[in-house]
Amino acid sequence: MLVLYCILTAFIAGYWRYNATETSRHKGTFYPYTSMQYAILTSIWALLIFIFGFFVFHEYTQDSYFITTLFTLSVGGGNFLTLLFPDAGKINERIFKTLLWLSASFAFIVTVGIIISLLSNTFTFFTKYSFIDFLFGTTWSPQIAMRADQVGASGKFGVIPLLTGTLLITTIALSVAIPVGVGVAIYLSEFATKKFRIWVKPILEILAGIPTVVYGFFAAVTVAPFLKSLGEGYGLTVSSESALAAGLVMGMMIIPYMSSLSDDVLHAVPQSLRDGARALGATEFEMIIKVILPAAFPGIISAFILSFSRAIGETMIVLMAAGLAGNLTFNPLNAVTTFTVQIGTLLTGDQEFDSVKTLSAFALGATLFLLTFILNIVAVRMIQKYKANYG
Amino acid sequence: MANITYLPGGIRRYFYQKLFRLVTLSMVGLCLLFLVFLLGRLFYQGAGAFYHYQIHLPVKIDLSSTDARDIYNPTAQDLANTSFSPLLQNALLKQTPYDMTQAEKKSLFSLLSPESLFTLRDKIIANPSNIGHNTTIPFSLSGTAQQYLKVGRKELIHHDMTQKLNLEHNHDDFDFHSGYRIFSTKDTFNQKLKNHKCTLNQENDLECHFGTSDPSLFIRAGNLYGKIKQINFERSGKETVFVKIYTAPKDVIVSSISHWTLTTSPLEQSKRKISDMTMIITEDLLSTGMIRSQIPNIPFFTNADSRNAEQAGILGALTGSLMTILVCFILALPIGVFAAVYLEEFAQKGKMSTFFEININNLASVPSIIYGLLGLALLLNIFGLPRSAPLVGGMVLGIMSLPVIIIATRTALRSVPQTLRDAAMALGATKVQTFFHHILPAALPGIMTGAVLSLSRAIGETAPLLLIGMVAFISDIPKHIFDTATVLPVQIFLWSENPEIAYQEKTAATITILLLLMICLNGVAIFLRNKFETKY
Repeated sequence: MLVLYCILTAFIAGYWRYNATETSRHKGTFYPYTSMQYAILTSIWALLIFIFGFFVFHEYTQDSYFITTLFTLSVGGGNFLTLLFPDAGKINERIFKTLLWLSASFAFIVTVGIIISLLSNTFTFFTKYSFIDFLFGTTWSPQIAMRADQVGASGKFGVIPLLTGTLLITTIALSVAIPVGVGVAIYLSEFATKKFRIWVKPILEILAGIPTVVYGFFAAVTVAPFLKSLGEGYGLTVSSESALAAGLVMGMMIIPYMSSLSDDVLHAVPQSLRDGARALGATEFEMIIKVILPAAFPGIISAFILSFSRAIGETMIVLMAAGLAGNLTFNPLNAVTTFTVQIGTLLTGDQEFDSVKTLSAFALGATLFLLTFILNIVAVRMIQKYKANYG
Repeated sequence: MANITYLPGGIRRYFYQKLFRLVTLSMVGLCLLFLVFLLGRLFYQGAGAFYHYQIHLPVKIDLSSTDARDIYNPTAQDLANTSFSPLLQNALLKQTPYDMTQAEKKSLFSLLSPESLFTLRDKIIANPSNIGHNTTIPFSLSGTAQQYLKVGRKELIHHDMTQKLNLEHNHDDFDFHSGYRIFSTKDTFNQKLKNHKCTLNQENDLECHFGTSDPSLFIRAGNLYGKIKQINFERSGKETVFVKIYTAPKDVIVSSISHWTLTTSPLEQSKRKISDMTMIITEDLLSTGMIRSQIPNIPFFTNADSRNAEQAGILGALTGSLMTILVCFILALPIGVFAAVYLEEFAQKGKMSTFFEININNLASVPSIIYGLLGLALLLNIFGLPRSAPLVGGMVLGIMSLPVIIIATRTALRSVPQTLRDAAMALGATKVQTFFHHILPAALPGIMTGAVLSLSRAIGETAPLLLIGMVAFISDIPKHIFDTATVLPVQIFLWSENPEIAYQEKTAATITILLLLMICLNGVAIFLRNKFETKY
C-alpha cells in the first residue's frame, strides 16, 4: 500500500539524514535521541500527515496529484524535524520567541474571549428582560411569542426554581460523595498497604474517567425505574425523572474527584503531627479524628467547594435523568431542572439568535460561570493558606 | 497492633479503632462494587447488539420474473434499476411447504429486513455470472424477528408430553387452506387451560377458541409444528383439538405421535409484533440451520445511523469522533505547549503573567457547557462556520482542553530541576537551545501524559457539542471536516432517548466501545509515562 511505502521512505530518509548531520556537525554534543528514535519520529510524522490528509480531504484522495503531493510532504517532513532541534543564532531565537509569544497570546485571547462573549450577550438579554425579575423570579417557563397576538406566550425567566433544583441535586450528590470520598481517602492514606494502593488507585482513576453520558444513561435506564418501583412499593409517588436518581448517580461520579483531593490534603499534613499523636498513645482512629482531620479541615472544605462547583456544572447526568419542568420544590422524589439542562435545551432548537429565549441561555451561562469562578477562587485561596500554614 | 490489655482506656478504644477501619474499608468496597455493577450492567445490556441473526437463503437468480426479463445481456445500470423482490419472495416461499393466504405471505415476507433487497441487488451486480443459477446469500432478518430470536424465544414455556395422540387430516372445514389436522385424545389439555374463556356449544361440549387476543398454544412433534386453534372438551372426557400446521405440506399424512411438546406463549398475538405463523416458521428454519447467528455483528460496525433499529451502526459516529479529536489535538497541543513554555521560561514574571495564571487555573474547572456557549456565539454566529461540523467541534474541544494542557505542561516543566538549565547556560547555550535540547526532552513524558489524558477526556465530552448542533440525525458517514457529523457520546445520547429495545441495546454496546477506547488511551498514557520517565 502506498501509505507503507511513504512511511518506509520517510523512515529511511530520517535515519540517513540524522546520521549524516550527527557525524558532521554535532559530534560530541549531548543529543537526546538515538538515530533509531529519530527515524521512528520521522515515520510517525509521515503517518500523521497521511491520516490528516486522508480525513481532512477525503473526497479529493482519488486524485493522483494529491497522493504524490502527500508523498513528497511525508518524505520531506522527516527533514522538517531538524527544525525542532535548531542550532544557535539570533534569527532562530527571534523566530521561536515570536512563535511562543503568539501561542501565549492566542491562549490569552481565548480566555478573554469567553468572558467577553458571555458578558455581551448577557447585557443584550438584560436590555430585554428585567434584571430583578431574572434573579428573584420564581417561575421558569421560557416561551416567547411567535406572533404579536399569541395568547399566553409571555415567558417568565425567573431563576429561583433552577437554583433550588440545582441545590437539591447537588445536596443529594454531595451527601453521598463526601462521606464516601473522605472515607476512601482516609483508608488509602492511613490504613492501606502499598500493594492495596497500587491496585485501588487505578480503579478510582477509571471511575473518574468514565464519560458523564454513561452515568446519565445508567441513571435514566437503571436507577430511575428502580427508585420508582421501590417508592411505589411503599406508597410514595416517585416521578420517573426524580432528582434523587440524578443526585445519587452524580454523587457516585464525584466520589473519585473528592477522594483524590482529600488524599492530597491528608498527605500535606506534616508527619510530625502524626508522630506526636502516636507518641502520646493514640489509636489511629483517635489520631485521625482528633489531630489530622482538624488540621486538614480547611483543605477538606476547599475540596468540598471544588466538588460543589463540579457538581453544579454537570450537564449530561441531569439532562438524561432529571426533568425539564421548572418545579420549585424541595422534595427529592419530584422532577426538577437545573441551570445546565436549561442551557442545553434552550439552545438546541430553531430560534433566531436575538430572541429573549436564546439570550436567556447566555444569561444562565454567565451566572454559572460567575458562580464556579468565585467558588474556585475561594477554594484555591483556602488551599494556599492551608499549605502555607503547614508548608 | 498493640495488645489489648496494655492499651489504657480498655477495649472500647480498640473497638472504635476496628470499627472505623471497617467503615472506611467498606467505603472503598462500595466504590469498587459500584464500578463492577455499572460496568457489568452495561456489558450485559449491550451484549445483544454484538451478534445478529441471518438467514442463508438459496435464491434462484432468474431474471424472467423481474422487469429485466426482456433485456438481453443486462448491464450493471439495468440491474441497478430492477426490483428483485419477486426473487426474494419465491426463495422464501420455497422454504415453507404449505399454501398461504395473501395476508400470511405478507407476514412471511416481513421476516427479512428492508435492506435485503439491496443486499441481493448488490450481490447480483457484483457477480453477473450467477444469473440463472442458485446461490445461497446471507440476509439480515428484520427487527421483529431478531427481537424474537434474542429475547422472545426465552419467554416461551415448554411442556414435554408423552401421551399418545391420534391424528386425522381434516379436509372439509371452513378453513380450506391446507395443514389443518385434528388430534383426539383424553384428558391431556385440561390442566393447561386454566382461566380460559370457553363456551358451551349445541352438543353440550365445552368449546375453547384461541384467537389473536388469547395466549397462543403450539404443538411440536418432530418436523410438525402447529398452532392450536380450537379445543372441544366432550362430556365423555374425550378432547378434540383443531391444529393448523405450518411446516408440513398438505399431503403428508401422519397417524400418531407419542413424543411431543406443548408450548405456551404468555403474550397474546395481538400484543406482539411477530405473528404466530412467522414464529413457527422462524423456529423451523432455525432448527434446520438456515437461520444462524453471526458474531460479531458486522453491520453494527460498518453502517451509519439509521431509522431502522437493526441497521443502525456506529461507523458514522466513530469517523466523526476521530475527525473531531484530530482537529482538537492539532489545535490544542502545539498552542498549549508553546504557550506554557513561553509563560514558564521566557516571559517576565509580573502582574500580567500572574493574572494569566489565575485565569488559566480557573478556566480548567469551568463547566464544559460554557465552552459550548462560546462556540455557538463565536464560531457559529460571528465566524459563520458550518454547524455540526467536526471542525467546529474540534475547535470547541480544543479550547476546552487548552487550559488542561497548559497546566500539565507547566507542571512537567517545573519538575525539571534547575541544575539542568544552569549547566546548559553555563556551557554557553542560548535559551532556545537549552529548551529544545535539554528541557523539552526531559519534560516530554509529563507533557505527553497530560496530552493523552486531556484527549481521552475530550472523546467523552457531550455537552458542548450538543450546543454547536451535533445533535441532528446524520445517516451518512462524514467525508471531511466541513461535513455534518456526530460523535460517539452524542450518538449514545441520541439513541438512549429512543425506547425501542434494539436502540437501547446499541446504546449500551456503544458505551462499551467508548469505554474500551478510553481505557486504551489511558493505558497508552500510563505506558508512555512509565517508559520515558527519567528520575533526576
